[in-house]
Amino acid sequence: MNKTYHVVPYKGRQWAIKTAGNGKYLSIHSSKAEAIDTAREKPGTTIVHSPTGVALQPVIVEGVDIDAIREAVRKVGDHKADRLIFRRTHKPKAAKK
Amino acid sequence: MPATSHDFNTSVFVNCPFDRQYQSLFEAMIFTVQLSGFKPRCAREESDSGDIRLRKLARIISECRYGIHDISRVQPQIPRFNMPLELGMDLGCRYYGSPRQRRKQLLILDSDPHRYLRTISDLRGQDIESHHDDQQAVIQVVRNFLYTSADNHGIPGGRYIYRKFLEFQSELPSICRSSHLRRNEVVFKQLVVITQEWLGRYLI
Repeated sequence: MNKTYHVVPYKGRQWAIKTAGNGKYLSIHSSKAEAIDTAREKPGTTIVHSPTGVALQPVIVEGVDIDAIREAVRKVGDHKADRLIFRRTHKPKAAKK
Repeated sequence: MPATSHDFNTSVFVNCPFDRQYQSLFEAMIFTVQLSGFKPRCAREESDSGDIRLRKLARIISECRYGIHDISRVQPQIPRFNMPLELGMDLGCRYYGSPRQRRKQLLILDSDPHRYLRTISDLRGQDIESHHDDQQAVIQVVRNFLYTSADNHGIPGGRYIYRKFLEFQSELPSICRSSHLRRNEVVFKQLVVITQEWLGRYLI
């Protein structure tokens, strides 16, 4: 039978993978991206939740290269992280008096 | 194959113009529907020329519990009658359909309040929402409709959704570039998948 895994918010800033049937937590992750990637490695359907608990309905669309889109969306996140690190490490110089 | 009860209860039929001027409102609508935990469906999801368009529409409408109908395209030069026709089909389901179809809930939108009284006066007495061709207003009315109809208290407020939508819009061009697509080449099916992936990963 096709199992369903839910990626849900867990105790504030963490994310957990939960099974649909018994609602057991399978693993806890420090980031949502990590939880999604782990859940997708398991055979079955992954349903990702929003921070407020809304289950984002999985859309299965024929004829769309979902792997290419996933990779493109993931790249945006990598760029975001790079920008954040750059901003943290390169503090703007103080204006000359 | 008939839609399961879960699919029916989480599907939203979006009936609106598909022209370039409306594109930004359409994207705002699709984003809000998906962020609220629903699946958007529309006439653009399939391009099977072997299927008669009206039959295809009838099937999609019957598979959605919720309907969003924008009847704002009534310019006198070339009035568009597709939207009122599909609204009529959806209303027909509610009046003459099976018990499941009678549970349908509809949101009717126009750009200006009360303008519909001059174009479809038979709708008098219905609650019609106006969006003034503004993305934030569309997001707010669609969000309020889904929040109230579905009684899902996890759906965030309109301002939060709008802020997230702007973030998504700013990242969409680079997602398209990485997918070897031009921004204006993204079709409905791709938009839905991109939105789903983005929301799943970055709604934190």
